[in-house]
Amino acid sequence: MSRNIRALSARHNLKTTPFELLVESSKKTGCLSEYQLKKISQQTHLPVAHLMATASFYDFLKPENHNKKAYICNGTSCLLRGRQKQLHSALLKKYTDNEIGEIRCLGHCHHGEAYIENDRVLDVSHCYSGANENADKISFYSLSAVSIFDNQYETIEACYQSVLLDRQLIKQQLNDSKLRGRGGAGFLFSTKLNACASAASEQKYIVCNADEGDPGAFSDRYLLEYKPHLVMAGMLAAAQACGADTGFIYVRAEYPVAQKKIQQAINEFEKTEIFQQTSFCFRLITGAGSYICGEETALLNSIEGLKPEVRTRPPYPAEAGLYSMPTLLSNVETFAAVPWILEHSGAEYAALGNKHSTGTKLVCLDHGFSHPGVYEVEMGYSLKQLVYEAAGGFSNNVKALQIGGPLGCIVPVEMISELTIDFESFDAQGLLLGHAGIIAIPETFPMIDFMRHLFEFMSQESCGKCLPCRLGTQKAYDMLSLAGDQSPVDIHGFNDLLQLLEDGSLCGLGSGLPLPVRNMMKYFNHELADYFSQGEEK
Amino acid sequence: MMKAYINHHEYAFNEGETLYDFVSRHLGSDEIPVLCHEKDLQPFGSCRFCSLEVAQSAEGDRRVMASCHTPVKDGYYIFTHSDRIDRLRSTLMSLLLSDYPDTMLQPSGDALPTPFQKLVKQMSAAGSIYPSGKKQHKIDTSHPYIHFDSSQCIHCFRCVRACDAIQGEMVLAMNGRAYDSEIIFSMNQNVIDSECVSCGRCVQACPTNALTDRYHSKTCHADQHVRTVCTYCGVGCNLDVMLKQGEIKAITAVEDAEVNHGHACLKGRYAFEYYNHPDRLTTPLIRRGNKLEPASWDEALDYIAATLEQIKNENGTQSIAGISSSRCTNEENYLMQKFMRVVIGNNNIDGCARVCHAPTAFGMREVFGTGAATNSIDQIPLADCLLVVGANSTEAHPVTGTKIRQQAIKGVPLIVIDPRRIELVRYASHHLQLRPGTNVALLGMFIYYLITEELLDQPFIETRTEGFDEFKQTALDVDLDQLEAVTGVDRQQVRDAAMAYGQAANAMSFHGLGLTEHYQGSRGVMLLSCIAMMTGNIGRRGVGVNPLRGQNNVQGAADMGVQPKLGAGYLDVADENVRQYYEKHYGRPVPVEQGLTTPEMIHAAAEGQLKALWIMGEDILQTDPDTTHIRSALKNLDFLVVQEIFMTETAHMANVVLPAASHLEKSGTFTNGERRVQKVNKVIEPLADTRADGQIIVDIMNRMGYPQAGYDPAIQLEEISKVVPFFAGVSWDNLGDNGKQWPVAEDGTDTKVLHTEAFKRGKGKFVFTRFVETPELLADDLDEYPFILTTGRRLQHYNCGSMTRRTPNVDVVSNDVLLLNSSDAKRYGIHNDDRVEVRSHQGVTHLKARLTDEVKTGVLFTTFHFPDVAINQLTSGVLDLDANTPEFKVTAVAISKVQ
Repeated sequence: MSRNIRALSARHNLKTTPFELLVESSKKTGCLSEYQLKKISQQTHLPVAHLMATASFYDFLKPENHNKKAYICNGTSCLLRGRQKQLHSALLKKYTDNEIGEIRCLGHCHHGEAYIENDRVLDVSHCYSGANENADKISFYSLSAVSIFDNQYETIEACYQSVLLDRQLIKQQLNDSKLRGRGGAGFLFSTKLNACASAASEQKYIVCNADEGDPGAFSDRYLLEYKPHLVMAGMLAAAQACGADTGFIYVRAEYPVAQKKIQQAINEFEKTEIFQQTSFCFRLITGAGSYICGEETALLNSIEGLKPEVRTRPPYPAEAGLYSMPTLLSNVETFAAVPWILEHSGAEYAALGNKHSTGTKLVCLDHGFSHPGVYEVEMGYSLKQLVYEAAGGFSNNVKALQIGGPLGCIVPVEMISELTIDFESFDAQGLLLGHAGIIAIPETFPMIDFMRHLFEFMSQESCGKCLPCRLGTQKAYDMLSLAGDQSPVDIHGFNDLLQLLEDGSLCGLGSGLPLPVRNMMKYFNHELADYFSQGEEK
Repeated sequence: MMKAYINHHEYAFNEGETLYDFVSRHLGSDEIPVLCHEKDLQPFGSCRFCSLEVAQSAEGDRRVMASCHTPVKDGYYIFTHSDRIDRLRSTLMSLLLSDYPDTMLQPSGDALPTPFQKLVKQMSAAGSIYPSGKKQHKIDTSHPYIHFDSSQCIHCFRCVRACDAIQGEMVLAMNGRAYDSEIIFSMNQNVIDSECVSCGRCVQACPTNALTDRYHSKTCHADQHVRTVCTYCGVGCNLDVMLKQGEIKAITAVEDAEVNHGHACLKGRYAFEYYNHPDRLTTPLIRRGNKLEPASWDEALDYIAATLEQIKNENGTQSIAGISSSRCTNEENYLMQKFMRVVIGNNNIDGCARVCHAPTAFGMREVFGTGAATNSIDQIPLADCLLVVGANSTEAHPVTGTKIRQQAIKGVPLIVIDPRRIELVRYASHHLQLRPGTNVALLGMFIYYLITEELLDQPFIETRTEGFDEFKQTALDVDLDQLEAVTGVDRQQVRDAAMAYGQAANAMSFHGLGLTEHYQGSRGVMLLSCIAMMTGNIGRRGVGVNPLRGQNNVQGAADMGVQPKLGAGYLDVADENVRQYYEKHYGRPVPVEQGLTTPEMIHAAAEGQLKALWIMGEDILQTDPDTTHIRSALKNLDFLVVQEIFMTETAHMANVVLPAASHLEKSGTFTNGERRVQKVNKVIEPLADTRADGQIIVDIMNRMGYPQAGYDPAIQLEEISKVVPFFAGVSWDNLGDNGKQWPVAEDGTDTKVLHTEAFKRGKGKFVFTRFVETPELLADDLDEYPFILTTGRRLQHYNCGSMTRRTPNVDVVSNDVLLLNSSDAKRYGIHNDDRVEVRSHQGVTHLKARLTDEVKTGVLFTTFHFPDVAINQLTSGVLDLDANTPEFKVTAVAISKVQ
């Protein structure tokens, strides 16, 4: 992390940031030439080496992808659907092999056959028919007696008006609500809010992490596309409480529709009187293709035009976040819950769920379920009921679920009945609820391939800053790739790697990966044993 | 007291201290291995070797934490070694080794191990159980000094961080993501083609041999280390010279040096191969007919002594003059002026300060009473506003330049007053791009706005200064339209800059030769000094007026009395008491007749009054203005003695050439630009038959009947400390490693900030001067010379280039080039690399063109490092009105493309 680059970038603070210049410039010409980089360097005073390196980090900016016309999703759900080859041959009718790239993940896990071209996410049928419209509809089901996200407001104005309360009152209600961050870690939202609110600084920021990169998750995409004002009103409320004047919404490049909807919502907000009264600004920052940007500090670096490498902590964003200013950073679903809490009350919200996990949770079910979509359930809802009743069971034979993204746990189907949708139930089993995107792993899909997929995913998405993650994910992938009957993976070396990732990684990407891997080794040893050398643990 | 436990032992920790610092402080820096961490860089958390186990209680659950970036908390139980930690480190090492070339795990030959190799050995690591990657490796030896081998890169980012946080060049970056990322220079170019300035800090930072230099300085197994001071500019970086069996093998920057904290530029770190270059002069030469022929020392010295006596007898004492050298030590400069004053018997002594900072010495002395920098370089971070006038610190004072730049990048307001868009402008908040030669007009506007915007420090003005009312009156009585027109700078811009300076709590100014080498050079310095006074920016830390001294000892040469009017310690020889004072110390009377400045010496030689000239270590033919005039003047001399290490243009004309020892071959002291007197330690014995300049002077003094003890800095310093009041507490033994900043009291206390309670002259004196156009631009035929040529320096070369041109620096920059504005080039049909004829009233030369927007239309820029260009053939004879310094920065010229 460079103080110099940050300071130079900060000079462009609320105007066009250097990162946005890279993205815009690349969009105009489809690539970033040396000439363009030099021009941006002159404009921003950022060094060319840094701009080149930054651009090379992002899937949609890196030179290897300059000629790409379409990218096929290689997220877990699409991989499991098994339609990528078919999609690829269909695209070959339009493009050369070189022009077809790969991306993770487009968040169309309910279909499992997505590709992106010209800022449109499409599926195989469109590719064949050449149809233009985005036929993607996310099915939303609320299984909760009270829907937090189905709040209806007469006008946009009314939505924002409802959160313009006294600073203390907002803090009080959010304290009472016991709302926990929905991004995966489940951190108490009010703790962050209070830390940011009490930080001594004239300048503070609100940042909404809309970089939902986990395969299997599309609930944030749902909220961004269908309920953008709810998310933004939640941010405005947080800003009121903290004393922030600007809210950044970082929406990933793989979500072009969400980007449009957010921009549209910002335009609508700016026509309200609230905008005049509060002078609060929303800024849409569009990502450029990088999973790690969902990590909070990488995301902040990305906005600042730094390479999105993970920062060391402390300091935490609430003390020194965006441009080193106190920053309240949380995810889409968390912010979207705030208006309901303020309209009703924190206590009313806390009454939902079990005592520790309060409110409702959005759960995404992928195409492996009979009725894929986004489900709103009260915390504590039975997983079994959700899977087998509400979602109608599986569309094929399924042996396990991966819950909470590629770093989420692997739950064999036999265990489904032991779990409820809340943080505590998962913790008790040594598992993680994460953000509760659920992927169904078919009976027919070999676990060794699934494990390779996870390591491949992480080895490509690691920011590369810390040694355990940069080398560990790659070497583990190499070991698994080489593994066969003749040359099994050295179990000691592999376990050492897992332990190193868990203990030594700088962020959750590296330290989170051992969980699903160990789950697989524990529950699917019968499938995997042949690939590993046998031996006593050292 | 806050306490934590390391391996169950209780220790006290400091607020905010990291686990790593805490443990290293108590158990030594070897307790925790690190690869990515370095004390001069922010914690980064990349290598994870520093991981420790930490628990909240003695038997509590232990968590693994990276110690370099985790703060200690009260009651932590820290465990530096455990099975888990040892296992973690060996897995890390195994991962690294899977991609690291096996043959590079041990040092080759007698080289010292790199930090990485040390760790490999310490951990008894060998081989890896992990599959090797299929990476393509890049080996880049395109640069004469800095080499890169990607196969040994362990991705610790130290080079990237050093280039950024220390050098501020930001040429290095980690390109790409994850496993496939790699270090790039600029836009993934070879080092030589990149924007790398080869400061070598990345090499020093790299814990492996991925980045190395020509001399393997990082792993040089020296049998001897000598700490000395760089000879290449007035910053005064401390260098660690490494020797093997008496031969210099490598140089690196001294880590704990107060001046440079382990940093240096490519000149200091790498450009030392000149010292034993075959071109070194190794025997005295005497002119016989048209040829300079070898002679013995006795022969040469006898000949000189006899000739000087004869000239003195025949033409009087005033017919002899001496030019001393700012490249030489204080002791040598002291001896040289003493030689002229008491042995020859006149005040005809001058030095190269005449062609650089004499206006600073004069101007600041007029206003403050002392002509030296008021503050110290390490106070730059304390300033809230930086003002740089006519100085390209990035290239001419690289290590100080990085300090200024680091602040500017971070957003500290920086005002640059310079006709060129120098590198600093990239980060500056204000650039006042004035027409060369109009500093006084521009500073006049600046002062006008400081007054009208009410940015004055009234209490300071009232209590500490005099003459302000008159100053104010004249300053307000200016014609802004006219000033705007002559400077070419919009008044609003000047007003904004003045406000930035005036509103800052602490504003610090720096200036260079772009302020001094002008017709009104001294006047510009006086205005800049007044600007500091009127805003109260003087006499405390983080403010002041700070000339960036050019040559390594230009401050010292002046301090030692190398100037005709003032003797050692700046005492006016016109004063009878002063002469008596000197006589008491020298044992001989000091002459009363006013002496000659260098331009006056040249003039007197041309006129035939000056018969003999002794030049110590200066190539005036290449570096002083109007070469043709100087050449004919030197020809007109009866006798020219030159002490040199190389056969320079000037030495070629000498009657006797004396081979001198280089700065690596003698001891003494240099005084840097912040008045810091530092020890120069002899690294090797003088080459062949060369002698220290000081010894040569001593030899001749003795021959001419003045008993002078042999050259030994301890002896001369003792004498100097008695003569020069502000050296009272200086002795060879008490200077220590980091020197002392004068004035040094008798008890050895030195001084970081001047004028804290009162000015040297009592009250600061306000002097206003109106802008006057230089005669150079008032010539009748000016229409025929429509361009203004201004000259300066480049990073890679030093002065006349006699040293740096004899090092691999010449492979980085191999000639002087002419910078001209693209639109001017278009009008003249000139393209990049075309040869251009540049012609002035004085002369003509040819240079390669480089199109740029660094200079405005109508302005040209070049350097004076190469004798084949010899740009000073063109420069004019116009001198600063007060200090006789030549106006190098403004020459009216015409250009045409050479077909």
